[in-house]
Amino acid sequence: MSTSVAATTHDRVARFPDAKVSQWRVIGAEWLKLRTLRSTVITLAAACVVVVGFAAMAAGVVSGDITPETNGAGPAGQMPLMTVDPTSIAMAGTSLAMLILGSLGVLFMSGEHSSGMIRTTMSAVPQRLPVLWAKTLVLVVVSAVLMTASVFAAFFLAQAIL
Amino acid sequence: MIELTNLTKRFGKKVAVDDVTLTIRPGVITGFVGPNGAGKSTTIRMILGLDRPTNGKVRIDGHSFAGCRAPLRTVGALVDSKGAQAGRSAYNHLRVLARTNGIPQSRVDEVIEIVGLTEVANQRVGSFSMGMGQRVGIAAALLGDPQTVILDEPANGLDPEGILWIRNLMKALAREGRTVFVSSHLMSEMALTADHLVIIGRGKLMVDMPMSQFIDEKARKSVLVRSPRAGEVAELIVSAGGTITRHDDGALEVTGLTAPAIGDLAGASGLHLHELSPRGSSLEDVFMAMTQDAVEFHAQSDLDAIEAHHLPRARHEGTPS
Repeated sequence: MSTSVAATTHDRVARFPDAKVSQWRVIGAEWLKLRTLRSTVITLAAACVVVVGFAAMAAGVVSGDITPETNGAGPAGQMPLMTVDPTSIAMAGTSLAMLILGSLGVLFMSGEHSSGMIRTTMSAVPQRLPVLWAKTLVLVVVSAVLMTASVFAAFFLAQAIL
Repeated sequence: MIELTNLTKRFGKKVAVDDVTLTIRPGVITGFVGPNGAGKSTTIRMILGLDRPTNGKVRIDGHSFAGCRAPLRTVGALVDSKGAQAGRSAYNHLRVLARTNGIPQSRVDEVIEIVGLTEVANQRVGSFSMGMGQRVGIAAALLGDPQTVILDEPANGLDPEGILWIRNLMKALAREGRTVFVSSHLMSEMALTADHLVIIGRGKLMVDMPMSQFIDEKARKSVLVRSPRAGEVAELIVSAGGTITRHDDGALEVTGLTAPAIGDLAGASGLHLHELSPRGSSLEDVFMAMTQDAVEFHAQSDLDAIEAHHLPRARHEGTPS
């Protein structure tokens, strides 16, 4: 009964003939979502700061202790440093950053549910999967790019301090 | 056009929507009225694919919404107030939605102007009053210039001016040939807005008729009569075929006779009347009486029903209704 009736219901001219959902558009929207929410931006910034900052701190603490001869033993009165690997010092903040990024992932999804945004999102994109893929892709790419940059920055900063 | 066929939703043992078959037509405002907990929001959520029906089907312009390639052009919906994240500005919220469907940025500015949020568009939605949040939701609903507009309790939190504005907006949308489906728990508000009335009580469809027909059929008309010789007047009225309900203060409420008829009757017998005023029982009363019956009908098996009807709204936000 439905289709034949529906076809005759209106002759209004739709204004946005090209306005359709596509995976790329949903990805673009999720990218915009990530950028325009203060909490996600702050969380991402925190992860970067932790990676670089911890590297600088760790490097500062052990600075001067590492020479080929004394490697593994600090000066008198200090705890002996078992194996001091300059690279691992530079990576001091990565585990915490991973936790922060994990919480960002939770925030990115749960924030929609707690605010009721998810209903708006799902009314605009009725299929669930494109939204899930878009969120995953945006998070992975953004985290990968920022963390790669942060880790390199941390490495060179730590080496400069050491 | 929205078509519901045998639509049913159960949450465990509780039946939220019970076998509703209904066609919502374009070009008119269809008011969807029921007390809190009657199943209005659940029905709307099923139309939008936010809840999966236990049974039955929903078709929007002949298609299922889930398979829709241009959702925002097809249906614009205000599901609950705001529906936006507190930390994002109204402007960015609408940009995000527009982008999912490839709607031009210029339309975002347009809808912001339509709902009157131009000056605060760059503020965080979290800082908005409930009425402003409601306008953000309405802007989102209008974004795709949709053929069907679904608004769940749009008047919530709006001031009288805002209510008048949304009423005129809905009328304009319907005039343009769109399907406008709007829910409310206030019958009086719908009487002023809707062309077609759908009442739901305890998940069951109770009324599906033009508003004017409902008003003609259901609004009980009576005449209030006061007289120093009320007893004699009452006898006259009863003998002329009227029915009387006595009020505590001595007034007579008469049904079955018009005010002029009662006046003539009393005058012919030389009886003085101190008051003769026609009364229409309010639609709100009619609505309450109808849905109250629906509640009581189930009361023995489900005490929640009575609670759902009497408790203030705040308690029931967040529960499926």
